[in-house]
Amino acid sequence: MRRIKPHQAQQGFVTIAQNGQVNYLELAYVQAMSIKLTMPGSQYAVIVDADTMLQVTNKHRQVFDYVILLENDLAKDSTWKLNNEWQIFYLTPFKETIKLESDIVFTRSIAHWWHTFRLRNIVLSQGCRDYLQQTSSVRSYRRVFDDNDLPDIYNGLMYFRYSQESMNFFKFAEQIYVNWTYIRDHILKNCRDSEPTTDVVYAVAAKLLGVEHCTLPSADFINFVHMKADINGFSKTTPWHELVVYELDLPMIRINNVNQYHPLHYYEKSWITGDIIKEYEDELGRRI
Amino acid sequence: MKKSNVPAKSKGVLIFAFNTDVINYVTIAEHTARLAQHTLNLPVTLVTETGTQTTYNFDQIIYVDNILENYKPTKNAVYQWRNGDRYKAYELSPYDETLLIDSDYLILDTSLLKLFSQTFDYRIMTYNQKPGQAWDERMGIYSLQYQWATVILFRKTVRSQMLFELAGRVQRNYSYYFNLYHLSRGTFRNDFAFTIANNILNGYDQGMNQGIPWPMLTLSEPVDSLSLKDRLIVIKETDKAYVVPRQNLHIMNKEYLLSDNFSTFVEQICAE
Repeated sequence: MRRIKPHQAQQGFVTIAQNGQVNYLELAYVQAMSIKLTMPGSQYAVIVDADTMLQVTNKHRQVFDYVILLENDLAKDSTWKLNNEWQIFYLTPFKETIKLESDIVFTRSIAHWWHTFRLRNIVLSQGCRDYLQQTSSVRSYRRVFDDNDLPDIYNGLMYFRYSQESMNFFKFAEQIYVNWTYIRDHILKNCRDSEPTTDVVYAVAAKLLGVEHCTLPSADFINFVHMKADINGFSKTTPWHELVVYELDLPMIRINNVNQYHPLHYYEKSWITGDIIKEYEDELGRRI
Repeated sequence: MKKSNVPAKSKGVLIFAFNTDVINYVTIAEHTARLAQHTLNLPVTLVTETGTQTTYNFDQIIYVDNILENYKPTKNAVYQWRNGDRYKAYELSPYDETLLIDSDYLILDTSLLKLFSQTFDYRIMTYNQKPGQAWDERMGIYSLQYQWATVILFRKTVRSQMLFELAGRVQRNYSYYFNLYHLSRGTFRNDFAFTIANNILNGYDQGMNQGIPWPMLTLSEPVDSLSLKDRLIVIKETDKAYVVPRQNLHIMNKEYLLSDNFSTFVEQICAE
C-alpha cells in the first residue's frame, strides 16, 4: 500500500471511527471537541468507512478538520473493527500524527508532548494510570504481555512521523494482522485471542522493530487514565459512571471527586450520552 | 544584629476533649497535655464542655456547648462519641500557630515542632501505620484514601480558615457528602470531614495532600504497657510486643490511657 494523497498539514490528531454496535463517530466527535477545547488550533482528522461516512453531518464537520474515507476496509465482517489500524500510516493527513482510540478525551493541553515525541520517529504510550492519576500496577489485563515479555504499550495514544522507521512499524503490524493465527499459535504463549487486538499487535511490532526505537521509558508522563474496572478497583459488573460520581467542569472532568489531568480513556462507551455531547457543544460554542 | 520589631508569633497546642458516658476524655487530655508541654515546651489549651472539671494547669480552657453526639461501633459494643465541632478549632485557637491533636495522641518527640519552621498554611497527618504494617484505608470501598484529623498543624491564614470552614460545612451537610464521597459509615468522622475539605480546597487534586511528610504510628489493639528504654519505646500488647524508635504515638485503646500504667508512663516521661 502507498500513500494516495500528499500530507495536508504538519501535525494533528487522528482516530479511526467505524460505526457498528457502537457509534464511534460520536465518540470521535466528543474527542475532537475536547481537543479543540484544550488545544485550540489543533487539527483533527477522522478516518471512517463508507457506511460511517454517510452518517457524518455538518455538526461533525465543524470540528473535524479532515474526514477521510477508508477505502480498503479490512474489518467489514468484524464486529470489533481493529484490522484497519495499520492503514492509519497511509491515510493520516499529517506529517506528524498523534493516533488516538476514539474513547479518549483530553482535559488539558498535551501540546508540550509533541516536543518529547520528536525524540523518536514513533512513540507508543507505556503503562496507564488509575483515576487517582497513579501509575497502575494491575496486571490482570496484561497477562499475554507478561507471559511473552512484550513491552507494556497501549495503542490508545501513540505518535508517529512520516519516516521509514514508522513505515516499517506499520508494515510489521500489517503482517501480524494478516498472519495472526500463526503468530498466536506458534509464536505467542498463552494467547487465545480469536482476533488480534491492537495492543498485542503493536507490542509484537515494537518487539520486532526494537522496543528502544518506539518507546520513551523516561517520559513516564506519556500515558492516559484507563477506566477499566480492575485498574481502578471498581466492580466489573457495573460501569464506572454508574458506580461513582463524575462531574463535568469542561474541559476538566472529575471522577469520584478527583480531577483527571491525564488524557481520559473512559472505556465505557455508554458514558457518552446526548447530555455529555451537549455539554461539550455548549462549552465549545462559548469559547469560539 | 538588629533586633526585629515583628513580635514573635504565639504557638501552642490545642486539644478537644468531651467526656462521654463511659470514657473520661478530659483525664486523657490532661495526660496528653502534660506530655505535649513537657516535650515541646508549648502552652496547651483545652476545648471542653461547659462545667467540666479539670486538674491540670492548662494555658487556657475554652468552654463550648452543643457538641455533636455520635455513636461509634467497636468490636464489642457501641460507644457514645462526641467528636463534633472540631472545625471550630480555627476560631477557638488562641495561638497564631496551632498544633491541633486528638486527646489520644501522645507527643513524645519534637518532630512536629520542627515542621513549624517550614512555610505552610496547614498540614494534616496523611500517612498512618500500625507496627510493621501500613494503614492506608479508604473512606469507603469506592472512596478516597483518608487523612487523619488526629494531628493538624495550622497557621491563622485565609487558606487555613477555608479548610476549617469547609470541614464545618461537611459536618453540617454530612449526608450529602456521605453520598458524594461514597463514605462507608454514617457516623460522622473528623478524619473524613477534613479529608473532604482538603480535597475540595486543593482543587480535587490528589497530588496536593498538604500532608505531614512522615507516617503516624497508631496502636489499634489493647495496650498493656508502654515503657522507655534509651531512645526506644517498648510497647506491650496482650500477645505481642514491639520495640520502636521513640516517636509520637496514636493510641486508640482508651482503657489503657485511663490506667495507672499510663499515669506511671507519663510520670516517667515528665521526670526526664
